[in-house]
Amino acid sequence: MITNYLIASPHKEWADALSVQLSNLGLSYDRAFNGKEAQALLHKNNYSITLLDLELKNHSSLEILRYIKLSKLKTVVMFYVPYAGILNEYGMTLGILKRLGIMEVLLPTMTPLAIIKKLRHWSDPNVWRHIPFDPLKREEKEKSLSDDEFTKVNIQEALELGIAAFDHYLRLAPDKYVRVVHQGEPFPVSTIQNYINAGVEYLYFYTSDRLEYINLMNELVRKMIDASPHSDDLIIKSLKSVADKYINEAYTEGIKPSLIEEGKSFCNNVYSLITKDKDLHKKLHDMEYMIPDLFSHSFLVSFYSILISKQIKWVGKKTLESIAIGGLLHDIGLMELPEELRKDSPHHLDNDQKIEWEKHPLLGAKVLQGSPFVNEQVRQIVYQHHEYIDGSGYPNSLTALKIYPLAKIVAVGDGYVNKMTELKVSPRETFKAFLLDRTNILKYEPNHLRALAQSLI
Amino acid sequence: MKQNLLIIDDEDLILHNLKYLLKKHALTVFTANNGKAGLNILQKNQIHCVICDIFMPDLTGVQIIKEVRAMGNMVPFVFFTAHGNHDLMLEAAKYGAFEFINKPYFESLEEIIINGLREGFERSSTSNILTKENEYQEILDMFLAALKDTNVR
Ligand SMILES: [Fe+2]
Ligand SMILES: [Fe+2]
Repeated sequence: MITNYLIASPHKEWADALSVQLSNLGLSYDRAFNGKEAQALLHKNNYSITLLDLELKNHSSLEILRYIKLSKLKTVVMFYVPYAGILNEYGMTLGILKRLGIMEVLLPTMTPLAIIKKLRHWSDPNVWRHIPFDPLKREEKEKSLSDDEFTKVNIQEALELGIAAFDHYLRLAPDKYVRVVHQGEPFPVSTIQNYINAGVEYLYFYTSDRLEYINLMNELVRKMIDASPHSDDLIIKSLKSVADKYINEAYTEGIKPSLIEEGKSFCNNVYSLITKDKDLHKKLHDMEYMIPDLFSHSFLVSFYSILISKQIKWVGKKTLESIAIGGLLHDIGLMELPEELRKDSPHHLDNDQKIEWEKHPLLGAKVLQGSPFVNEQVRQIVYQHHEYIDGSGYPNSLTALKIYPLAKIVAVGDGYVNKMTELKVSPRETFKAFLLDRTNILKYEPNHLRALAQSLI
Repeated sequence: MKQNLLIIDDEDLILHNLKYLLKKHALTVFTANNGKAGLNILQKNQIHCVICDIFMPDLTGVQIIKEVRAMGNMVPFVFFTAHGNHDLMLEAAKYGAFEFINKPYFESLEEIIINGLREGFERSSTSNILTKENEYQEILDMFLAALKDTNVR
């Protein structure tokens, strides 16, 4: 039998009462008592409805909501608000919850049966058709808006989101759009299916709407984290692409969505390319499970190296691919070191350990010698990613003209990502701090820093 | 503005084909089928980019780049490499390799050579007006100004 509902709540009595009624009616459900359990269950199973208690801890309800949205899980989300004041405490209103795509807000005054009625309503696969909502009839006429302000999204993917987090438009002609779904409302399945049948491939949204949405989400999550004492991160294997999983929105905030998508898809492509090599696949797999931080670091370095390269005129397509792969593999040599040395930076290592740690560029280049999917460009990026133009790097203390140009780009990506991880601030704030650090003036090419700046604004 | 290219490879057929393929990008394409001849050309001419096979019977690419750097010449070197030359490549890197082309895949050859010639030209002409400090300040100013704009919007 398909499990339909997920009840994620630390309020045992309330959840028990609901569970009893569900069992009586022969309906199946899963229970989670904290956010981590909820996320693990969501990863494993498909739920038609997820019921999130606003007081969920250890992954807050908003973090779970964000996980659901970013993973594009097809589940209707309802929030349980255990007492009225809690909304205020978290700086939220019912309006905000609606904007986040919450279909129902459940209050403690509702009886289990009343709640089940709502659950049944939303888990009916035909419920979308019953919604008295025909955007085209209700909708305004076409508008003249500028193409520059829109970002397109695959229509099929949009449909799978269930609920529109912001307004979506259909593009009729250059600079001509008509709105087909409003923020907070479900995508009208049959209407959109008609568009798809008619050959429409994309829907459009205001680029600024999405940023606003992401910012709102990030801000709320931050507030909630501040308000609740523990919230550890848990790496959950999700159904999403590996880049989506490891390059989360906190690391890309403020960057143009089109650049983000392009960078991520590039990462995904080269990842699937190099993992055709069985040995390399095993090494990366070990890295992902044994040192997830390093794995995520590798994706971020690849992502930012791509962004930088995109702004540099002389980088062609093949070169870009080598840079992306080089970024992914730059620290692969760390996997050849004893476990305690497998860290993305040598802070907190003693001198002897540091000497060992600094062997990882050479070890990495050696490891890659056997791979038919890795060319000399990639090996040299790995070998030289800790060389700096002032000659302060290793293993060969090369100076500006001698360092392999592609390795210099990945070195900037590496240095920048390390700064971001260290400071835990937004990409832009990180860049400011990065540039104000005078040692970076000596270590990196100004052109590369300029390219990084350009991709962040 | 075209620059001078030198190709060093022990296979005459490769020399011939590459010269034919690349002549439109360079003022003159010099060729040498061994390291000694190559070094000779480098001493007598202003060369802006060198394409060099890494593995040759007389001098290896590593020995050639080592000599050239000893002459105080920072001309960009593009190495032809093949499977099995890995340790030579790591050695060559110590003297400053500009690019690597994996034999027999010459797909991005032209793009790389155009970049190499441009880089070689920049290295031979000293026209760096901005000091590095100024350049950083300029980048920072540009970045902060752009952020202000987006925040206002
Ligand atoms: Fe490293
Ligand atoms: Fe790194």
